[in-house]
Order: sequence, then structure tokens, then C-alpha cells
Amino acid sequence: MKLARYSKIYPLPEDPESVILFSTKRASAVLVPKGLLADIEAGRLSGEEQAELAELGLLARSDEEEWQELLSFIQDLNALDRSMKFIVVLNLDCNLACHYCFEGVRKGKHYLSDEVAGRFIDFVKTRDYAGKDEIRIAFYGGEPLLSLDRIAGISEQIKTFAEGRGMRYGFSLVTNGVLLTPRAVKRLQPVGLRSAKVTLDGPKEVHDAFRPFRNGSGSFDAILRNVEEVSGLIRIQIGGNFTQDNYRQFPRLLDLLAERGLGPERIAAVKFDPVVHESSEFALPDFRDGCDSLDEPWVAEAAVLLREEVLKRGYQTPKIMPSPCMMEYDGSFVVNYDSVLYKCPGLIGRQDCRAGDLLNGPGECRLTHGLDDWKNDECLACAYLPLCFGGCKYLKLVREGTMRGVNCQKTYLDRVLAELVAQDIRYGL
Amino acid sequence: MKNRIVVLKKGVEKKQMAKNLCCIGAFIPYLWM
Repeated sequence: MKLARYSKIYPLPEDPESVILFSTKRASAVLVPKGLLADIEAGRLSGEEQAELAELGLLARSDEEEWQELLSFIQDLNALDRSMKFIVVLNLDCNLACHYCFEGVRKGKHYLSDEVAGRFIDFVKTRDYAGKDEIRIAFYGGEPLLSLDRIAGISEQIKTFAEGRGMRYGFSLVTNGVLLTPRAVKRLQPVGLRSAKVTLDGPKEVHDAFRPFRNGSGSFDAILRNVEEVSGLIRIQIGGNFTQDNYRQFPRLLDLLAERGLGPERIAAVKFDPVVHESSEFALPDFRDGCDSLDEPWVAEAAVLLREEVLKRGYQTPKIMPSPCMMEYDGSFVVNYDSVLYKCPGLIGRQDCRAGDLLNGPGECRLTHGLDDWKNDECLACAYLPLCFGGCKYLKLVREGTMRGVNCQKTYLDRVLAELVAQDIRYGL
Repeated sequence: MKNRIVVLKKGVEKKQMAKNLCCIGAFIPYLWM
């Protein structure tokens, strides 16, 4: 047995005689004396030690065996996934005028029609549900709550269908929160509403500068009031989009949430991410901030700092583990308001990125989306592969105009992974 | 020989990973939860 290729060795500053071993494919971590590394190579582990490290994914018989495991990894996750997932873009309209909106000039008074809603329900009903016990939808926009009646209508029908087949149905909202009132929540809960992801871009003055109403006034107070009123009814996840200039102010939002009684017991998860700068084809003309690559050093610094601020206040945030791109999931689609299917919400409106439509069904897109492009010697030899699998295709498209090839995350993970793993250990994730 | 391994994180089962899809560079957390 040898140390697994898909593992990292991190020093422990406070204990120079020990190291942390982290498995990137199992998200496991152990503390061992340095001498144990040589004992692995020399075959001097005790039976108990060998069994324990193997169980945690930290030992392997050979590179070939590990490569085969990685080559079938996503297939395995597909087989284990018991839910059928859809993202439905109900409209491309919005009651806010966020300066950085990645949907940019694609926005407008575009709404999913009765006809397309009917097609979507037929599409859902005709999927292959072998091995599935749940249908999950994330309603997306624009602003999905501008289509509240549509959400209720679609959900009623799909809930009836799912339950008639012995499956569960539930949905979430990706919403700006302005219309997430107790009244709206109480209307949607009986038809499957479970959670909502609401965006707050830092403290009030920062948020209001980036996410104003269309008349220019700030939206922070209205959103926070709704979050206060509905957080006892459904799971609320707080997201936020930061720039190089404002990320240091985001901890003040966390303090404010606590002051308003929105601690970890009321908020299911918090995660802040950099604003993406869309390609010139779609970007709003006056917004030049944001990033299109995780390689910018400030992104790494901000990611670690803000995650620490979130965790030290007791909030949940996603732990470090393999999280393959939604494009890799066989039955998972983004359904745009106009009936076109995509594999990622970032792709909507891009003619070359279609993955079929509701009438004709899904089309083949593994090649055009470059989904197998990580299956090369360099990626298979990289310890980060289970955390990357070729990286974010959307970011690659924005930056390079193509999804072919990989969006290597080595530079970013070299900068952040040791600290992110240390956070996971420190906070028991 | 004494077991020299201290387990800090037990790791995540593939079944759990299957629920943890990545969306837009992981910018949308827990999309389907």
C-alpha cells in the first residue's frame, strides 16, 4: 500500500513532528507523526493503522486503481443520487437593478408562459425515475417571486405526480428576498417550499449601493425584515457577492444578523462568493468590477477570511468535499422560460450552450461542454482532481469563450485548501 | 504497536457527496436543500 495520490500533506506549525493528511476524494483528515509517512512507503504500518488509513481513503494499492476509481467517481455519484433535480428560470425580470447582475442584458420582461409550463410538467413526468425517490426544483429568475402564481401552479401538479408515484417533492427559491414575505411563504409551503437562498451583499450601505431597487432606493431593510419574519418558517440560506474593494466589510453584516436575532439557529447556512464579471456579450455596460478567475490572489484571501468569519460565529457553510458540477448529473437540467434546456444557469441565452429543449428532449452536450476533458494524464496525476473535476465550466466560458479544456484550480487550491481544511477541523464540519 | 493515527475528520460518504452539487463555481450554496 502507498499514500493515496488524491491526498495532501500539511504541516502543523504548533507541532513540527506531526503532519495532517487530508484525502481530497473522501474529505477525511488525520493527524500522524511524520515518521509514519516513511513507514507507509516501507510497509511498516501496523494492521490497525493500515486498515484505518485505507478506510479513510488515505492509502491505495496503486495509481492505476485510484485512476479507475476517479474515472468512475461521477458515475458512482449519479447512481447514488436519489433525487431528480431541475432549475426552472421562471422569468428574466427583476424588481431590483443590481449593478453586477450576471444575467446582464439578457434581462427583460420575459416570463415562462402557460404553454411552456405545461411542457415542463410533461417533461418532468416523462423522465426515468428508476432509483429516484424525490423530485427537487430550484425556482430561479430573474426574480422567481415575481412569478409566485406560476410556482404554485407548477408545484401543485408536480407534487401530485411525485406523491402518486411514492416520491417526495420539494422546492427552493433563489430570490433577492424582497417579496419573500410571510404571506408568500405560507402560500407556497403547502405545495413544497422548503428553503430560500437570499442575497445580502454586506452591511446596509454596501448592499444598497450594489443591489438597489429599480428606482435607486436601497433594498436592504425590506429584505432583512422579510428574513426576520420568515426564518422561523423555512430554511434560509444567506449568500452574498463581494468585490475586491468591499469584502472586508462583510463581517459587519454577520454582526448585524446576530444583533437582529438571526444567529445560526435561524439561518441554515451562509456563504459569500466573488462577483463574477460576465463576458462583454452579456455584462451590464457600466460594471467593470468582479472576477472571472479564482486565480486572482485577493479571491483566495477573501474566501479564507470570510469563511472564518462565518464559521467563528457558528453559522454553517459548505464543508470541503468533492462537489461535482451540476452539468455532470444525468437528469439535471436548467429549464429556461423559453423552453430551452441548459446544464448550468450561467449558460442561459447562449445559443451554443443549449442542451436540448422541452419539446424535443435533452440533447448530447458532453463534448461541447468539455465534460470529459479532465480525463487526461495531468489531471489524473493531480491530488486536487476530486475537488475539481475540470473546474467551473461557466467561469471558463466567461473568460475564454469556450467550455472545452479544463479550468484548472491548482493555483487557487494551493493558496487556500490547507486553511480551509484547518477550518473544517477547527469547527467540526 | 500503538496506533499513531488521530482521526480529525471521518470523511464524507459518496451518498452525501451526491447531494452536494456545485453550481456556478459553488457560488450558489445548497441549491436543492
